[in-house]
Amino acid sequence: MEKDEKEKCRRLECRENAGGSGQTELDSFQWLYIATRGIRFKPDRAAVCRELEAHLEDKRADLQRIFPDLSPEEAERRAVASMGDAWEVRKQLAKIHKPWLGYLWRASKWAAVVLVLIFAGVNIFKNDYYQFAGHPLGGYSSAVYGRTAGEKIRVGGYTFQIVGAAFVDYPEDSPYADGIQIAFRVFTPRFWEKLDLTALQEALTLTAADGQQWKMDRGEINMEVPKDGDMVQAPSFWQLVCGLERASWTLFSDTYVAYGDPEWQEGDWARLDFDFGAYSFSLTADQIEWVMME
Amino acid sequence: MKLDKGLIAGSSTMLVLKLLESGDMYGYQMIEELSRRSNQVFQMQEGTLYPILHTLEKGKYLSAYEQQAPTGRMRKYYKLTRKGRQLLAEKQAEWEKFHRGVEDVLSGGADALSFS
Repeated sequence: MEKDEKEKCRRLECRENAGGSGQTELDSFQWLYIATRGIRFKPDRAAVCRELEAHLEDKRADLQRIFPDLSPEEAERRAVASMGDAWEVRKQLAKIHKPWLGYLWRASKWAAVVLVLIFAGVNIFKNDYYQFAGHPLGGYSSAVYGRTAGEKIRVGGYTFQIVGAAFVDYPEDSPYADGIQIAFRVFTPRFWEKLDLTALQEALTLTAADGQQWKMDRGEINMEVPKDGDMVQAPSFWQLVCGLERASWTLFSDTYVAYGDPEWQEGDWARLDFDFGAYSFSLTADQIEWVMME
Repeated sequence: MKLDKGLIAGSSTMLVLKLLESGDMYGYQMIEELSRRSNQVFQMQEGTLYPILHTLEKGKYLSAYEQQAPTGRMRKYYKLTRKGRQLLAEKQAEWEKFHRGVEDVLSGGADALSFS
């Protein structure tokens, strides 16, 4: 804003504080300033000011078109006069444009951003593999869900459902070990009370058709560490053969993958047995899909 | 002859809604159209149109959008909503009832003829 415009505003404020009314002639800037000054929420005030300014300019241009001899100053004076009492317009606009609505809207947007940040922070913090092994947030990348979906059960505000099951068969010359992977989703509308990996690892046992069982509170890792004399190198590959990991998450659900390494037979099934103390239940994946890896 | 401001103010909401029934308009265009349709009888204080428009917009009787004018200036256009059409119908019915009442009083009463 120009310095002389600021001075005009200051003078207008003084007159206004003294309880003055707009009986003197105003220029368009002064008229707009008075009419919109009662709108406390600044973005609203700016938008209304633009709209009224456009009106004044249309009026001025029309007057000059109809009366070509009119000087620009006289056209502006008449345009401002046609707008009416700026203080009266100000009173009405201030009544309509309540500031708290705008501030509430702004506050709610900030609250939403803060909530999303808190949620993302909590989930990144909870993702053990992201913390320990430096894997991307999607979890351990070898998870293969297969097409086999399974049972669903609702327990204590949580919904457990098998969303995929596969027997993953690696080629003979691959360093990776064959095994079953059962993916299941745990959903709860109370996202702040999502189960964590440790609670599930302690509660879950994976049972295969051949009778083998794997407690998920311990894991078996298949890895190869190249040796260079006495120096220990970083593993050339790393695979969770038996155990549980979190593979992905959304606001209301987490998807976990349970790994085991039974012998494979066509039409095999696998069962997840959960024991949380107060609740114990099982989910079974029938006809596990066989997936050949290249 | 200048009209009493109160006469226009009382029916300004209905007039604005009626203008927008025929198409979307911006504020200045409404003032011009109002003046044209009333044969220059309705010459309202132009600034007072905006509190009316903003009240109707807040009440969802009108929606608004911006469009660039050939001069490059952005103009705010108003559009009548379904809720606005319902309000217009109510206001028009109310106005007709009022108008009939005034006519009856001015002509000496609804059943003036039967007493004369």
